Amino acid sequence: MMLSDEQAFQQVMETYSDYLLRIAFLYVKDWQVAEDIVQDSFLSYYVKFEQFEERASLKTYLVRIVINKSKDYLKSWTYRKQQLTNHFFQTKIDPQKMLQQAERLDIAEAILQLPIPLREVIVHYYYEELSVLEVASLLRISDNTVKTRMRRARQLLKEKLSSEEWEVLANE
Amino acid sequence: MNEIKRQLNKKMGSTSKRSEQVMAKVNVRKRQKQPFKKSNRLYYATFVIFLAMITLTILVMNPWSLNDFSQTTPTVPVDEEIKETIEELPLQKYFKEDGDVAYFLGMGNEYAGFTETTTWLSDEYVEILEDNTGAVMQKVYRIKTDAIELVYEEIMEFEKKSFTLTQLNQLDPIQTIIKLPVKDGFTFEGQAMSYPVKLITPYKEYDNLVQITKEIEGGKNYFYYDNGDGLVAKQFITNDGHEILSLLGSINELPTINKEKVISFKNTLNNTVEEIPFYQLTFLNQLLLYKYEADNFELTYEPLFTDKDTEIGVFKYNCLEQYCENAFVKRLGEDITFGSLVWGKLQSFKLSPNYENILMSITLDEYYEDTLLPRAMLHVLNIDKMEVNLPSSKQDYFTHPWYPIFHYEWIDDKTIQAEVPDIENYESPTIYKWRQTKQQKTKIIEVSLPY
Repeated sequence: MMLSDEQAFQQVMETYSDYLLRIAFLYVKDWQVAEDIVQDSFLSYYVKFEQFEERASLKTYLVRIVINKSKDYLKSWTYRKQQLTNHFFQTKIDPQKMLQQAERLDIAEAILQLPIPLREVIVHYYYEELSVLEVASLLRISDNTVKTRMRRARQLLKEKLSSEEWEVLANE
Repeated sequence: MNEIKRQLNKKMGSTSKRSEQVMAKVNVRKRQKQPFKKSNRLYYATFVIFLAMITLTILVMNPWSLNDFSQTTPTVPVDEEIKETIEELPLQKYFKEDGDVAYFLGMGNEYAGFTETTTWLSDEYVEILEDNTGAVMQKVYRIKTDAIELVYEEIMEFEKKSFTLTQLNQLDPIQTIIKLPVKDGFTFEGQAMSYPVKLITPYKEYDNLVQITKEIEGGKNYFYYDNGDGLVAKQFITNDGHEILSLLGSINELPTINKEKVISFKNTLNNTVEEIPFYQLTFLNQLLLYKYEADNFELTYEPLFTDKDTEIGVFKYNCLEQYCENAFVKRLGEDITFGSLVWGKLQSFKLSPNYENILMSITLDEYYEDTLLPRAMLHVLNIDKMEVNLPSSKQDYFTHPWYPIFHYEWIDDKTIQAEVPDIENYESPTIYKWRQTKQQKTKIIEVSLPY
């Protein structure tokens, strides 16, 4: 890789790593795993760096790699084995985050509890602020499926949230 | 910014340090993974020549300065961030009270559960007896001003060994258990400390545990200590992923299992809802009995076939898209016998000609380079024994969904044939490449079952 390419690659990492980490975390809910997924995604991209110069949307491409790697992880045996004991073993507590959480984040908590197919449409629609068609294209599902999942997700969130919080969400 | 985005951002906090770490690690790893580029060879050749010239120049200029040169080579900082000390807590509180009997519940092997009896021998020495029904282990710990040391550890033969204070003071430390300062990222004697760690045991929810990780032969040990309740959990994960787990269940009273609790599940055949005592579902982690949240747990049941009064079926749970944990069971009246547990999607099944074995195809596709790679495994369950009937050869096709499997059938009561890709290994690039080929050459494998 030549210096300018190298600089371009560094630039890509600087631009997207924060964002991709968050997307990965919203899938796997584990920072260590999210970091590994983003590392692997950048490495996959790095290997094929030249082939993607003409890609219309690098961001979408990277997000898709991260989504696929996150889903592969969630399907993996390692994850399934952990799943049962995760009721007991949870991640390290960030003391700063404990303070932040003094502020109620019930909507965020409820979203993170949604099953993946429902959570991901909410994440891409509200968090990434994509349109229904863009979410459909990103996840390679039909726009009707996106709408159905959104409806089901909102229904579940309504059951979990208090009426005030639901009001906030309903107005989004 | 919408409220959902605001809350999710707030919940996740700042990721800038994580980003820096990711970039640093990518930069280290990518050196071993060069991008595909035609000019690579030329680039490497130039680089090697350049490097050789530099080395030569240095050798000629000052042959003794090689060490200095290597020391000035820049290194990429990885994982160097260590968080601040949170607080100092009295080391005595990492043990239970004198006379406490704690009951640990276990899974992974029959000795994972144990009883722990704590005796304070003096202000500085604590004796712990660990009885796992197989053996009693006597341990003595020394509490120093800055560390807790294990000073005695032996299997108790008939009665426990007694020590005078002088004898205790003369014991050499075997291992340091906890060392001050209690801070995240601190390492001592090859052990790593994490703090604070949250953990839920059947006894209590803990927020501020000290986790000590130690790599030993064959796997990793994790110990969890509470400043107040002492040891509350330990876990051993072998290098091949097997886990032995012990969790504090109760102190000074026997832990109880709620046998009354029932779980409801949907029978997909007739769309009815049935109920069953939870403890009968032995395929579920029994520890979940203590933390079972019915609202979050969806269980469905699908009968596969019935022979007289016996029904073979599958319980599905923890589903993610089309993939689920599949627990194959035999139902005879109200009795349920568990057979095997497989993660994936049950694609189809075929009974052996003598109806003694059931052969199933289970899929678990994978995304690779934006392409869906089909992967599947064959799974044979002996109906009478309700255990996996694993062939002694070609186990790769029977232990995990590694390969695409196109067709399978029974040749006789104990022989199976399957059509699979003609490839050397099941690595993703191999299957991906094979899918790109025009021919997609396949081969027939044949295996014999033990019974």
